[in-house]
Amino acid sequence: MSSSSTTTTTTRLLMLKASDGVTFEVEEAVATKLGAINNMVEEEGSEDLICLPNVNGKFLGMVLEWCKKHANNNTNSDKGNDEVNKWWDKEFVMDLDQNTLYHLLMAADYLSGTELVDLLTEKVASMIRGKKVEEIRETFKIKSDFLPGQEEEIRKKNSWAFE
Amino acid sequence: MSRDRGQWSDLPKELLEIIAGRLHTKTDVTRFRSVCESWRFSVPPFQNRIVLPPKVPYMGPPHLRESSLFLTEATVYYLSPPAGSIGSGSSLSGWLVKIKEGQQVGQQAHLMNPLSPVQIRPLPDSFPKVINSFQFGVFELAKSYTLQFSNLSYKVGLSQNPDCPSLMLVASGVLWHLKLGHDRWTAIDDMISQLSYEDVIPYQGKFCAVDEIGRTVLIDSSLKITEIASVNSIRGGGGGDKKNLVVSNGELLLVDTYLRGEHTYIGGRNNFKVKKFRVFKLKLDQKRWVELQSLDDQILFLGEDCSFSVSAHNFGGCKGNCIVFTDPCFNVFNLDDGRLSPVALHQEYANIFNPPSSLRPNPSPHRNVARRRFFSIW
Repeated sequence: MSSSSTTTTTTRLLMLKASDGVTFEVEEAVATKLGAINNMVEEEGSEDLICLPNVNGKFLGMVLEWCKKHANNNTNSDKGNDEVNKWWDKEFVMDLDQNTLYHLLMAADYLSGTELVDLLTEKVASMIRGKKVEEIRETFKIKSDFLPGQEEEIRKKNSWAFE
Repeated sequence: MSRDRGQWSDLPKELLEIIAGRLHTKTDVTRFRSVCESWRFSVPPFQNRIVLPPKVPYMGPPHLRESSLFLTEATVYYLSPPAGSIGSGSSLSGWLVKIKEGQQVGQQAHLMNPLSPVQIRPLPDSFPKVINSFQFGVFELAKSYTLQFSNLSYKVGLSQNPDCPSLMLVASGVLWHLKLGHDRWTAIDDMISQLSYEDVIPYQGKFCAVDEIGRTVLIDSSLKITEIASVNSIRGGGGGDKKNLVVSNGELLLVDTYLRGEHTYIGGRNNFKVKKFRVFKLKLDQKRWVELQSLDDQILFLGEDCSFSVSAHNFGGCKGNCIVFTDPCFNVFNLDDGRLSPVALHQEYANIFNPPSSLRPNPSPHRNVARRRFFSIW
């Protein structure tokens, strides 16, 4: 299982600091799965402490947890990784409430975690498919800001009128 | 609290675009755009990737050349039960409908038989004149395309491959192909098979066609033919009378229909009696069809104009591992025991073909009459 110890060479550690001061020590290979951090590392080179004023510690932690899983799975044996990643992704998004989902999505977008944005936007889409407008509003706690006439017009356009 | 109010309304436009891009049906995109202003203006209204011409070039015997060929698109929807209807028996189940929608907003819609290309006309009294689709959870299950030619109709496969949108159909055992916008059908010249083709469906951007003994081919946009199941591909012989292709859960399945007695042709439609079905799954590496003992929780709807598969989970209490078909009454074939019986004997299946009670006018005193009258249509 853990016999892949040949790879325990010097992996550089980065320190990520969230908006609320919480810090995370992460392997560079993990953190650079996030495009924004990858850019910072490449541009600023030796900087070991990276401040992320737009992400709170709770969500940064979750984003990094996702990155870690994917980084680990990808360094292990090559075949079957996709399956493992898919399974893990499913678990990751399964019980997210809308508030967490929102903040995670914003964090993933800010950090340019393209794959994670894909996963989370797919989750959002799955919560919309087949649902009624009222249900979508309820799920995402959205208040309609259409004018009353506009709302009626939209409703009318979405009726089937039979002969 | 107010900080959280409507945070999803303020999602950056590029994220809203990605989300809407993951919604693939008109219904879902329309609903997305009906949630609030910012969602509405983040993406344009849904547009079919392919605009179908209402008429297509003629193919067929020369003496009928003046007949036009009409291409019809219809959508199979599953309308999930309206909220708050729990507790009143049949209203627990949703409703499976096939609707031919008008091309423009405000145009009339037509109710179609869910398993054949026949329009229900006139509509029963019990049928609501207007259905506000916003009342329901709406799932688009399948699209059916048919070509109407005098009193015949052909099932048509539509390839939405953006490089080469095209149609393919089987007429008298021959595969015909039409690139949209071109004025001529091409007969697919398959040098290997001298046998009749029986079904063609769009599959992974190509067309997939099966012949009468189960040999199956993929045909790409340049009309190159690749065999994916060879002549002797069905283990135990392809002894059935009719072969159909269905995609179920992303997998290609072959349904072999065994008929009882003779084909008779009544009213322009085949009127045969089904004895049983066998279902096969493709083993691509061996170019072979392998018989499936079970469809697990899938239900196959085998229609004359389109076939589709749904998961029994959340489907009005219907049991999985069944095939629903028309001959021409609706029947259910149970793969568990190989038994075949009319839909009317399966309350939960019968329910999904009927409008929910909330849509039927005056439900109480005439309810049973109305139900029976409506049901007699199928």
